[in-house]
Amino acid sequence: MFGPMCTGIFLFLALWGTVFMAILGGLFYNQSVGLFEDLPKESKAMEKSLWADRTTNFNKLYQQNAYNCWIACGVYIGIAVLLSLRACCLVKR
Amino acid sequence: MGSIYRSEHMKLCQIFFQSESAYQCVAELGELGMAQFIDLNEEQNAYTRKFVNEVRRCDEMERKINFVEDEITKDLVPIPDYDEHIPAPQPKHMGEMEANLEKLEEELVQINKNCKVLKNNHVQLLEMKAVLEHVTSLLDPHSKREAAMSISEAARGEAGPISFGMKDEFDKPVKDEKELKFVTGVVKRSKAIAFERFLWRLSRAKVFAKFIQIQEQTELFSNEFEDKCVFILFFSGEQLRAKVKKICDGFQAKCYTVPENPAERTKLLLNIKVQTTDMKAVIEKTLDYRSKCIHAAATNLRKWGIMLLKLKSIFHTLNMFSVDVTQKCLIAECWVPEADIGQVKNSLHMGTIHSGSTVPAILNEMETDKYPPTYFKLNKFTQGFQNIVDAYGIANYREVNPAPWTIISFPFLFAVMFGDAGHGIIMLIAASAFVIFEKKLISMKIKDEIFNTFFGGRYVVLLMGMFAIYTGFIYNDFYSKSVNIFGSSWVNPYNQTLLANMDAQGADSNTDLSLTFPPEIAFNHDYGPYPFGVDPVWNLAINRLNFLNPMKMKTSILLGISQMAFGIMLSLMNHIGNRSVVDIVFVFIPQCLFLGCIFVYLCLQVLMKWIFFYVKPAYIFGRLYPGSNCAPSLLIGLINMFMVKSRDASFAHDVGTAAGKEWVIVNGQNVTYTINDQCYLQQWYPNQSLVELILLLIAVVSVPVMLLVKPFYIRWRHSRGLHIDLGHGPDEHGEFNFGDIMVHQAIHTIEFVLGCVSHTASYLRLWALSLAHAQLSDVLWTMVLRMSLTMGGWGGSAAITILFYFIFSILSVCILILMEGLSAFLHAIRLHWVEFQSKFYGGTGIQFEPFCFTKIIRVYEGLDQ
Repeated sequence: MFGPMCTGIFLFLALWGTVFMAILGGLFYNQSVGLFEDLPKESKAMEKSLWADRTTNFNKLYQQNAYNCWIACGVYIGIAVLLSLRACCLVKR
Repeated sequence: MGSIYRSEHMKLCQIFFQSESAYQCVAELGELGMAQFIDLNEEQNAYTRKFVNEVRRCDEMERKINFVEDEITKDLVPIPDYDEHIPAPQPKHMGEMEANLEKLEEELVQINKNCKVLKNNHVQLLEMKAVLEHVTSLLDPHSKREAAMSISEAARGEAGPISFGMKDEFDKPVKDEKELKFVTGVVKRSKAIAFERFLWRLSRAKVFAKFIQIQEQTELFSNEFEDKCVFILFFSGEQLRAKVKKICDGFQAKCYTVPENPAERTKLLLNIKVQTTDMKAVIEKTLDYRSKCIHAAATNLRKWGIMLLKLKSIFHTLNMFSVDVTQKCLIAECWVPEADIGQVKNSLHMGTIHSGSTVPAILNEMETDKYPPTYFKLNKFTQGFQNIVDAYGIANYREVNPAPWTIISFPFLFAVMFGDAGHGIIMLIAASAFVIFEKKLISMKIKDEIFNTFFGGRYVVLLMGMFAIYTGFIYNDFYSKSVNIFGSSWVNPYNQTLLANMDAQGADSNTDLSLTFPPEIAFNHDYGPYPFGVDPVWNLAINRLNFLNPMKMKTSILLGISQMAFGIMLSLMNHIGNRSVVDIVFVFIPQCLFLGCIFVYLCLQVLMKWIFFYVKPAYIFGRLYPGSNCAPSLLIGLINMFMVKSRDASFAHDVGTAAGKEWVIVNGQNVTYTINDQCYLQQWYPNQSLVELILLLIAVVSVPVMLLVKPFYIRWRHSRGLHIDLGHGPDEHGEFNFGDIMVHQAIHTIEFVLGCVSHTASYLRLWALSLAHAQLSDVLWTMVLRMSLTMGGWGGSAAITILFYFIFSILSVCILILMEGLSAFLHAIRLHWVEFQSKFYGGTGIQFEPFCFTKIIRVYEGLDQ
C-alpha cells in the first residue's frame, strides 16, 4: 500500500506539520495577540472576575494551546521517522 | 547578439552536397540541429522523389519493429529506454539492419505458428484423454440398456416428435443392446443443450445422448477457458452415423473414435498420457525460447527505433533537395542562424570526412526577400518563460521579445494575486525539489502529461514561489495570519479603568464591544511606520478590508499602468528596429501623450494622496485641509476632469476669519473655517483646473494624430513612387490600398485608446484575486484549524494533530495552492498576453524548426507531442 508516491506525500505532510506546529506552538507560548481569537472560550464566571485573574487564565490557555501544538509536533516527528524508514526500505529494494 | 531580447539574425543558405557525402553531412546537421531545410520539391509527390525506395525500406523496417513491439507488449515485458547517444547508421548498414529485423520477425512468426499448432495438438490430446477417462462410465451396461429402450420406443412411434401425414412405417425394434452404435467426442458446455435438442428433433429421438462435464482444464497455455463436456451418442444402424457427424461438425463438437475393447482403451489412455507430457514439455521449451527472443529484442528495441528514426528522417530531408543535372550534386536551401554558420560549416566538414569523400560540401549565403523564421537561443531556465510568450504567438523576425521581461513580471504579478508567504513556501519547496532532482527526473523519462507540464515549468514555479513569499511579507500574510517582526507602532491609548468598565458592561449584556484606535493618539509617530509591509495591527482590525481593498486597488492601478507604459516603450524599440520615423513621431509619441496625460496623471495623483493626505488637519499646498473627510476622491476627480466641471479652489472658505463656523488645531494654532460642500470633490492643488484642461486637450489632440498621419504619409510616399514598408510580416502583399491602410490604422488606434481604459480596469483583477485568496485562506484557518485550537484541554492536541494532517494540509495544497495558484497563473497570463503585449507585440512570426534529431527522438519517446 505504501508505495514511493504515497510515502513521499505523507512524509512531506509530516515534515510540514512538524515545522508548522513547532512555530505555532512557539507563537502561542509567546502569547501572540493575533492568536487570541484561537484560544478556548473563557467561562462565564471568569468573565466577571478581576482583570488580574483573567490575565492569569489567558496565560494558562495560551500555554495549554502551545503544549497541544508541540504534542502534535511530536506525533508528526514520529510519523516522519516511520515514513523515512519506509522510504529507506523502498530505496534499498 | 546571442540574447533573447530580439530574435537571432537568420541567413538563407544554399548548400551543394556531393552525392556520396550528402547522407553523412545531413546526419551531422541533424545532430547539430541548427538548419531548417526548405522543401525544394514541393511540386513533386511522395512517389517521384529521389530516395523514395529508401523511405519505403525504412517503412518496412518500421512495420517490423512495430510487430516486434506488439509481441513484446503482448507478453507484458517492459521495454527499457535507451539513454546513450546513437549515431545515425550508415546507408551501407541499412541492409544489415533489414536482414536482422527480417530474421527476428521470421523467427517470431515461426515461433507463433509452431506454438499454435502445438497448442492445438495439446488440446486435442487432453480432450482425447478426457474422453477415454469418461467413456467407461458412459458405456456401462445400464446406460446401454437405457439407450436401447429409448431408441426402441422411438422406433415404435411411442416417443419422439409428433409427425402428421407420414405413413406409419415402424422400424424393426432393437432386439439386443449389442446392435447399438455410438460416437464419442467433446463439445462446449454452453452448446450442449442445443446440441442435444437438435439431435433429438432431427433424428426423431432415434439418437440417445449423454453428457459428462470435464473437470480438468484442457487448454493449459491459453488465456481463455471454457467449460467442456464429454458426450456419447447412441444410435441404431450405420445410416445415422454420417448424419450425426455432420451435426457434430456444425456445433464444433470434435469426435474422437475410441475402441470398444476396454483393454485397448486402457492401453491407448496410457499412450496418450505419455504423449501429453511430452507435448507439454515441448510447448514449454518453445515458449521459453520465445521469451528469450522477446527479452533480447526488448533490450534493443528502443535503440533500433532511434536508429531507424534517424535513417528515415535523413532520407526525408534528402528528398527535399534538388538534384543537379549531372546527378552528382544535391542542392539544399536552409535557414541558419547567422551566429551558428560556423558550426554548420564545421558539421559539413565532419560529414565529408566521415563519408570518406574528397569533395567538400559548399555552403553559400544568399540574399533573399523571403520572410525569415524566428529563433531564440534558450536554456532550460528561459525556455519556460518563452513558452508562455509563444503560446500567444511567435515573435515577428527581429521583434522585441516579451520573454526577458516576463521572467520577472510574470512571477511578480502572479505573486501580487497570490500574496501568501506560507503557501508560497510550500510552492517554493516543491519547485526546488524539481530543480534539485531535475537530472534524475529527466533521466527517468516520465511520460505523464500533467507531470511534464509542471516539470517543464519548474523554473517558472520556482520564481512564483519566491515572489509569493516576497508579496506575502508585503501583505504580511502567513496562512491568513500576520507576523509582527519589527514591532508595530500602534499602542493602546485607553486606560485600564475604562477597559475594565467596558469589559463588565460587555459581560453583563452578553455582547462584544469594539474600540476605535484614533490614529492621532494610538499611532506612535516617533516610532515611525512599520518598516516592511502591512502593519500587523490590521490583522486584528474589523475594518481590515476597508484599508486593504483601496490599498490593493491603487497598487493594481500603479502596477498596471507601469506595465502598459513599459510596453509602449518597447514599441519604441520596435519602431527604432524597423527604422520607421513616422511611427516614432506620429504613433509612439501620441500614444505616450495619451497614456501620460490621463493615466500616468492618475498614478501621480495616487502617489500624492498617499504621501500628503493624512487624518490630521494640515495646510497642504497652501490651503487648509480640515481632515480625512476632505481627502480628494480620485475617481470622481478624473470623471470631473473629462467633463470639465467647475470646482472650488479649496476645501474650505472663511479660513482664519471670524465668520468661520468650525475650528481645528493646525501646528498648535486654532484655525476657524467654513467647510465647502462636497469638499472631497474640489480642487486640491494650485491651478488644477488649468492643468487638467491642458492635459485633456493634449490627450484629445493626440488621437487624430496617431489615427491620420501615418496613412496619409504612406499614401504620399506611394504617390511619389517611393518604397513602402507595410510591415505586416510574412503576409506582406505587393499592392497598395489606402482604404486597407486607413482601416488598419483606425483599428489600431481605437484598440489602443479604448484598450487603455479597459486594460486599466482589467488590472484590478490583481486586487480581486488577492482578496479572494486572502479570504479563502482566512476561512480555512477559521473553520478548520480554529475548531481544533479552541477545543482546549489535552484532548485538543489530538484534534490539532488529526485536523491539520488530514484536512488543513490537504485542503491547503489542493485548493489554496493548486486551484488558487492555477487561477492566479491564468490571470497573470492574460495580463501579459492582452494588457502588456498588445502594446508592442505583433506575434505573427514563423517558428524556427530546425532538422534536429533530439527533438525527433523526444517526440518518438512520447516526451513531447
